[in-house]
Amino acid sequence: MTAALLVTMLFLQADGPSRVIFPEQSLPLRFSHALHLKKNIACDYCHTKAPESTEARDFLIPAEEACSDCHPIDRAQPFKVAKVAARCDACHPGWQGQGQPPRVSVPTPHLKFNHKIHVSRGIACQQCHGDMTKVELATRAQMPRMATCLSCHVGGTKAPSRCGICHLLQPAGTVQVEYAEGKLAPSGAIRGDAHTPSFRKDHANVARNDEQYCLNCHRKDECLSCHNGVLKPFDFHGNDYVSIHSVDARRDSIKCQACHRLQTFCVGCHQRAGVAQDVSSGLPTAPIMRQIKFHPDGWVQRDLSGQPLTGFKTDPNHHAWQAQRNIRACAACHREQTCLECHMSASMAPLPWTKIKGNNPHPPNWVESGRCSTLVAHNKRVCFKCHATIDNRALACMP
Amino acid sequence: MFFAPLAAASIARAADFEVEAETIGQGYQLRQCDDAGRCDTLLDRRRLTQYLNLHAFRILPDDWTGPRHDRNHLYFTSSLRFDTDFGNYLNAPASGRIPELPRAQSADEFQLLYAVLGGVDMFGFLDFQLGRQIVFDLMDFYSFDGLDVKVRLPWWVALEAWSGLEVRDEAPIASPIYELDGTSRGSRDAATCLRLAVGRPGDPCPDQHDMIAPTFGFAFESWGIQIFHGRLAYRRTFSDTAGRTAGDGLPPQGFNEEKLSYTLNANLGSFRPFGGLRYNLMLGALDQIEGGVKLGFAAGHSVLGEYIYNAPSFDGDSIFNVFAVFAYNDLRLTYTTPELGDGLRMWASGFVRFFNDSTADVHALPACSPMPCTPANPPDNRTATPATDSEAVGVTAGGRYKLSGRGHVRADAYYDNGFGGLRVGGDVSGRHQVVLDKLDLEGRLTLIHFEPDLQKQNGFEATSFGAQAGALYTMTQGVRLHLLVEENNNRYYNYQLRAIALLDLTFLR
Repeated sequence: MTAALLVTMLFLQADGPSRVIFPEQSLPLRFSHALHLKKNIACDYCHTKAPESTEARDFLIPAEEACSDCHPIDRAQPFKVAKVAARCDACHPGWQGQGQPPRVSVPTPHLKFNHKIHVSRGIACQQCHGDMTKVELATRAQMPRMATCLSCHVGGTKAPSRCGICHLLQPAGTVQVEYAEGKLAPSGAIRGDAHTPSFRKDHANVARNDEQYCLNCHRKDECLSCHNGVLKPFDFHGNDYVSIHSVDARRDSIKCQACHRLQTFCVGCHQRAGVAQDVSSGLPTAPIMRQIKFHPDGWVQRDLSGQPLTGFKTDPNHHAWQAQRNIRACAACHREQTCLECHMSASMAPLPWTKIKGNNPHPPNWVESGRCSTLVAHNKRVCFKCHATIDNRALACMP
Repeated sequence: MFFAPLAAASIARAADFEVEAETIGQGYQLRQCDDAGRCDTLLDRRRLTQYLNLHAFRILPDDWTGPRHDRNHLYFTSSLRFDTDFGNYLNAPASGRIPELPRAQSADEFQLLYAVLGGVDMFGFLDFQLGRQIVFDLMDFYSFDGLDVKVRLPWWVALEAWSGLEVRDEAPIASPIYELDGTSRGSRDAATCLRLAVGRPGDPCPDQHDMIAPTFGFAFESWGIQIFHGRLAYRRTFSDTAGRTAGDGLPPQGFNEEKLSYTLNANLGSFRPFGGLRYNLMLGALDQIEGGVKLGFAAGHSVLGEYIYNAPSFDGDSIFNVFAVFAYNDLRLTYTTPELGDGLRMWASGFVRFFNDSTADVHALPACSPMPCTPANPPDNRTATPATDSEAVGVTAGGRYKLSGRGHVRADAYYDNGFGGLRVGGDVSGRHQVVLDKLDLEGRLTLIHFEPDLQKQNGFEATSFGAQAGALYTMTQGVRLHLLVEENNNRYYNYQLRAIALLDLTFLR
């Protein structure tokens, strides 16, 4: 585990700490931590407020007074020569002592942090800020990365692991991700969920694995704003998608059912647009034999009146291939009753408008298959859609 | 004096209330084909959708269960949707009303998507949700009315259990968007109703969907382990048989679904494997397998490799479960670069998908038309292979360039072919914030050629050019107006217009 964390940390070090969490600083200073640490000066000798600091907004950079203990600074003598550096420009490069020195700006990190608690637990400065003995001026680079925090804040045993322990939260309890400096997004260090431009299309493997993890930053209504079948997200459904969508849908190349149910969303629209044949909307009526064929020749063997068409079961265009390969494509246009028109068991009363019945649609060795017996054991009703209850073939696979 | 405790309580509580009202107006045209085979009519679909979301967070005082100021303990969240159509899209066709389309000016148009009273980290270990809720996991998107309780035990294990009623279209002010798929209102006629099966076609047809569908499940889940997350979950949904009478041979009850799933996600530094299995107990088969690994390399390069096995499965009442024989297998690979230079990021992906066509097996059982088989009517054994491809392959490549933090330009090119048809094209899109925090402009150009594989005889292939332009105007904090116009041209349309207007109001107190 430690090795894994180290690798994670190394992986993240390359990119530096987040510019959103630690905004860019302005540090017109010259300072050598390496030099001062070589003289065995303790961190809190200069950073006197750090051990007692309880909030991330506390300004912990030493003021001039801290330096004055060793450096005989005299503002009246900006170019003073002394054994220990005392000139103004020794620390403020280019400043000649007139007016105020160039301003140091260290924006408040967008975090909660309590130095006092960490110090009281015996955590040394370098554990979070790294080895300062080789560092000259400390910058954002010496701020800890999230992986460093997670070396303790994991599992809740060593230290609390809730996001809100460190991150600022929205009223809903989710992590605040929008800041003036940009948007906070996962690096991928925890779950491989780096929000790259393609993540919107690839996020299912993370989201389906652990819904709660995503909910640390996203409210559920955010998910539903896309997965609702109302407004097309343009990166999924580009221009003229209505014309193009059949290719995607038949191939199932995007998971249509994540937003659209086939039987309650797709069928209605396809019927309305006339691309699906409505064999009997409502109660039995005369069938509408459509002139347009959305399926190729050879798709079915007979029409509903029993007259042979050009297709045979051996026809390469026969619909059985498509239904068995990818029934979803069928279910996007057809209701179950379309199948029943021809596949209802011979023992059933024929539908008023068709002479065809009893074409066996079951896959090979259906009766002997575990799928048949399992389905029957769980829901016999489905059998009685095609078979009459007196049809002893209906439950033939029942143990 | 009686009211004193209440007054005190109201002072201590600092609930945050949020009201969101989102109005979406869409107008677009759909090509309609008539019974004579002409497809030159354009239907006007004008759709109005109104969301009203109410949320109350941190209902209990922060220190109710201890000094944990980072998490709200008790909350209420809800979303009500009003969705209606105008235009001739809803006009009944000559063959009668289409049952799957909502009736205009009916109660169908009001849908309570969710309404949950929930608790998070109650007493430091308990989460719960009570009400209409939506769940998404490896099993599915799913909605139910009921109670979900999760208890985090020490030792990195959490137990979750839930119970309630599946939300179906027929439930009060419900939406069908997350109901089990495979059956529809349109199937509920004499052809499929159980009355016909027992030989009483004249009886009123009972609607199986009118029956309540109790659902329950449980899950074991790891928690708090940084390098690993696993979840084992089980769910069962069942319903009584509608209209059953003594001696009619119908079962008293049937399962609508019974599934067991296991998901796993590990973080081993730059090597991050993930996977999931779903076993459909109702079909006695694995119907979903996912596995993959994400590799992170130095300087931010990443590679994602995935394998997906997917076998269609439906509501236990659907006969599609019987027809669906084969699964498909899918392999995909995605490569993403780190941010190059001043904000350029590129990616490329490819997939290959195999649709099973074990032609030797299809209809190996005697298949005669009509049944039964006789010497004069011999079985028809399949010898041919299907006309359409059984594989599909595709590649996509793209890049996004950030425009100095105030927008981006993105380009995508794609080619895929095989089962389903051909699709080749590309698009360029962009967004730019022209007035800081006030006004964004966006646009998109698409050129795409497509050839659906099953409609070759209809000549449905076309090359389509589409242009889109939009603006997002933030009037003031919490008030946003988004306008979008899309214009498409292909050999079917001289122009096909789509317009969308979205007004989003959010009030937080």
